[in-house]
Amino acid sequence: MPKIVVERLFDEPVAFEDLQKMEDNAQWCLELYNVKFLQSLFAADRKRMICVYEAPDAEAVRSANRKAGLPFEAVWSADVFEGRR
Amino acid sequence: MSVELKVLGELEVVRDGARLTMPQSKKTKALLAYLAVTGRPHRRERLCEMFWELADDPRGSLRWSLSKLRPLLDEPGDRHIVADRETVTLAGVAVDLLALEKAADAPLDAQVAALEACRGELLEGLDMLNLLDYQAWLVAQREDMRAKRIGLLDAVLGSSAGEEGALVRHARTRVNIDPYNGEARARFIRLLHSAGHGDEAEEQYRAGCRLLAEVGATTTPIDTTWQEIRRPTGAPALAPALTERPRAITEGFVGRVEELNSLLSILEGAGSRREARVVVIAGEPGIGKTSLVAELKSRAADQGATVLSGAAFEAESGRPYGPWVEALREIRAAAIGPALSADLAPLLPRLEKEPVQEHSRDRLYGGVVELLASLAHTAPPVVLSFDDIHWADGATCELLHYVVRMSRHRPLLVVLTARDGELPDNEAATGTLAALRREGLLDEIMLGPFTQAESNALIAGLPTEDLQRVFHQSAGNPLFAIQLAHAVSEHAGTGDSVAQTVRDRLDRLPPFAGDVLRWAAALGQAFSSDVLRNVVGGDDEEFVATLELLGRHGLIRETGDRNGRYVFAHDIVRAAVYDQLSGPRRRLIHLKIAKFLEANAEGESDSASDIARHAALAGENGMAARACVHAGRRYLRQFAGTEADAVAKRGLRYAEALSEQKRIKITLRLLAIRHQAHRPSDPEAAAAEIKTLAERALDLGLLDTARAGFHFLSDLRWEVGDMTSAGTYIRRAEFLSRTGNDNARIVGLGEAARCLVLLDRDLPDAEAMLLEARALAQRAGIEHESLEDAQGLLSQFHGDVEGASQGFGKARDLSRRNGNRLYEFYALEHLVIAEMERGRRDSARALCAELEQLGEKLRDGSELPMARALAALCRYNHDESEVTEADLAACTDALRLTDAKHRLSVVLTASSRIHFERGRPAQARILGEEALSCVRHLERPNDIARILSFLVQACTAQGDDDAHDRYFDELLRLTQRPLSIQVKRLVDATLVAGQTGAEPESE
Repeated sequence: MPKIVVERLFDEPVAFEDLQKMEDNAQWCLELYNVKFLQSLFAADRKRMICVYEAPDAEAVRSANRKAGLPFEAVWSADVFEGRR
Repeated sequence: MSVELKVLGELEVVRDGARLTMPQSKKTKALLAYLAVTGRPHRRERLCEMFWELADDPRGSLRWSLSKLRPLLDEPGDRHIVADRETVTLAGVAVDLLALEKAADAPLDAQVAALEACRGELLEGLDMLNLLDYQAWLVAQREDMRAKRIGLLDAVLGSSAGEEGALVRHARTRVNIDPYNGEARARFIRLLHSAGHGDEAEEQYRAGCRLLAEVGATTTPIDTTWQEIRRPTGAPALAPALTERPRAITEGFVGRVEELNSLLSILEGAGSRREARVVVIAGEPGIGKTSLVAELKSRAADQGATVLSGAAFEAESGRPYGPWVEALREIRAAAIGPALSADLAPLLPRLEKEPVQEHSRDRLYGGVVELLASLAHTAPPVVLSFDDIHWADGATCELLHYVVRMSRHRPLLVVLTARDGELPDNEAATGTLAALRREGLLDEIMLGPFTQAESNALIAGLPTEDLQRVFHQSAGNPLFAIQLAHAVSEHAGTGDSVAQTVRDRLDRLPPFAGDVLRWAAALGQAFSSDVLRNVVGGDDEEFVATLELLGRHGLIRETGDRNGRYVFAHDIVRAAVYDQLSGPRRRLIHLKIAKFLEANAEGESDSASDIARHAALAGENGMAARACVHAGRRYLRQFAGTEADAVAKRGLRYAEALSEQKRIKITLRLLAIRHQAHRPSDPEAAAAEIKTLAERALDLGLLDTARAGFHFLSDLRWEVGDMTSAGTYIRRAEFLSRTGNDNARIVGLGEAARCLVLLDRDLPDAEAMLLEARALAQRAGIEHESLEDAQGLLSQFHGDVEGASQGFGKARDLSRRNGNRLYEFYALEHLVIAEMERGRRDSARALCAELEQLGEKLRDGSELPMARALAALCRYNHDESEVTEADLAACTDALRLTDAKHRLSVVLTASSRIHFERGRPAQARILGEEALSCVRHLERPNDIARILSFLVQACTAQGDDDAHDRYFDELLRLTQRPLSIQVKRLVDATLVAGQTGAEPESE
């Protein structure tokens, strides 16, 4: 399943709990679109974040996020580069 | 010459003072009774509906019945049956019911005479539980007659005129037909006492206490009376109970030498020649059919044969496969094996280890044939006996015919017994026998009366003069002879029929034994001792002793199966006991049985049809209708559509009497069963009926019922037939929509529906939700773009392009009004695609320009690239010089980058089609295959099917046979999934063309 990246920007710093709540509320919607949440990466100021999902396509993640009311700046499908360990 | 019809008791026809022999067909007798009591002309159509609803040729059956009645009633110059093409009337016949009806205002002696004319209940023994209209009519008539009789009895008893003996008789009748009336019983007890029958007065007092406690009524009136009259000293002297064993009856098998020999030789032939044979043993009730078969079975078992037995029962004639279930139930699970267990599970649920998804009728039938084949291999021959097939259901007969045909070369002997006079009432059984006769598989044995010697052997032990008397009175009928012999040895009275004799004997049983027998008679010809003990109540030890007593007196016997079941010595014995129960007592007994069975049943179990029957007889319409739902669902799982339809129809009748809320709920369930059993002949009308019910349920606030109704409506449209497929995510969506106000609910449901349609998932569920949302919206006067867009998408799936464009147009207007740009884009995008598919290039081009403008206002996402790609596609399609292939490819690339696979597949498919039409199949295929990989990724069955169809064509044009076959096979597999009507049509055309090599018509 392709990995999809979502970039988000917030005006105010966001708490982990609030994010968790938003993800929980969106769960049914994500399921419907066959979208699986993997992880989120936060900037130190808590106003910038990147979420990684697994989904059939980027459009599914866009639709699911819109439906769940989760704001985003951009959604793109990604190839993974692990680098040399 | 005068003809008189007596209906107050068993039906009798008297001509010039002589009683005539009645036709044996019960239906024919019921028809005669109905014509006589109603006394007016009836349309043939209506009579057919009433008596032969399920028959293939109802008018023919009516003609047959009338042809049996004519010789009985008509003589040259004296015709009573007046029948023309339209109507049937019974004219010029005196009916004894009239006298009873007129007696209310008549002088006392006329009232007494009218009472004397009542020999029993109205049309005793003529109950036909499966003829709903007739049975309802009969019950109402009986109630009416009972009320009239009670009125007359009270008048006569109140006047206290007449001799003491007659008064006691009337008071006894009064108590018998209205057993829960304390005052009437108190009067009877007083009369008995003053007539010097102190013992019986005490017995009546005790019986009264028991009966009144049964209904929870007060015993004060009889207590008071009893206090006044009770004998001052000493213990009560009850009538001596019958406990000694009668010695008159031979235990062994008697007579029938010739018949038994020919049966044994047929059995020998079936075994040695390895061929299937069917024997039907016919004769009047009580003539010894079952005893003969029992003897054959015991001889066969001694020779190592496999013996399986079942029986059909009158009360169960609507239950599918009854005799089969009984016969197969005795086989050990180990002998059946795991593979066959799954096949046979619809008949024998105990075999079902884990729910099997794919039952089918073919598997079930094949499973039974295989099971018998394996038994015929390990312990040949197999003897399969079905008793009383004149009561067998259609499914039993069909399976029997199938099994015999498929087992022609196996050592199988099927032995059937039938009352020849009642066989014509059962079209399924008659048809099966006729077919077997044509195929040369049937032997028929007709049993006649016993000779004097045989009769004597049967009841050896009676004095010689009694032997003579019994033989003459029984006319060589062994059952009657046995009952008479019991009566003689018990010093009871002997009547002129089996029923009368049984009743006379019944009066002499201890009260508790009589009670047990009455409850058993209400349970049925075969009954479980466990159920009986629970409903009768009382002391366990006394109960067991009572069953033994009844067995010793030849009234019931143990079947010896593992479930501790008993049967009545004969159905006539049971009917004699049952018919004597008064209406109110009958209702109470059936109610108690129904309640007990319901409390101990697991939903759609085998007892559902029993519960329905008992509840209906108790007048508990709600319980009866509920049980019909369970029974219907069970029958559907057994692939017995006709029986399921019949039981659902019966349930609808019971439901009519319920409150609106309950009625709607149960009616929807029953209609669902009917439509699953048989596709409705008028689907439009069926859909309209369900829609009305579902909307009414909404009005009444029955959300779940309404939802079920809309699901059902949608399933009718999609014809997928599975009512329980809703996925968990839908429930969650529904849950979200349920909380909140009307508006939130409508939008929530609409969104969820639209979402599912967009994802091409669970379309019937989506449609159901949309139906509910639309009905709610209409009531609340709310409009919402999601409903219109979803409607458009569904119309597209249904192949209604006009409706689709309308829906999208409306959705676009609404979202524009609400300032929802994203939604406006969706609606417009759908509209463009719909217009392109309809071949309206100009309209599509114009709309594309608007779509591009709108796309520019939306940030990020795939909207703008999609708008541009669609616009390029339109222009490219219009004129290749306007937009080059490279331009279109660039737009497609931009869209590809946004990773919106469904949108990409739409553009790719459309481009591919253009290439194909312009004679470039290779290019068409490359784009088509990319589109296919997109929709496969998204798991969209309708789109996959659509693109596969296209690729099959492209491969044919290219001459690539390998790829063609690969796509063709995949398409074939896909037809198992629920597809939209439009796509289904396209796929069918492609498959047909693929096989014949012709080109399918394009979409």
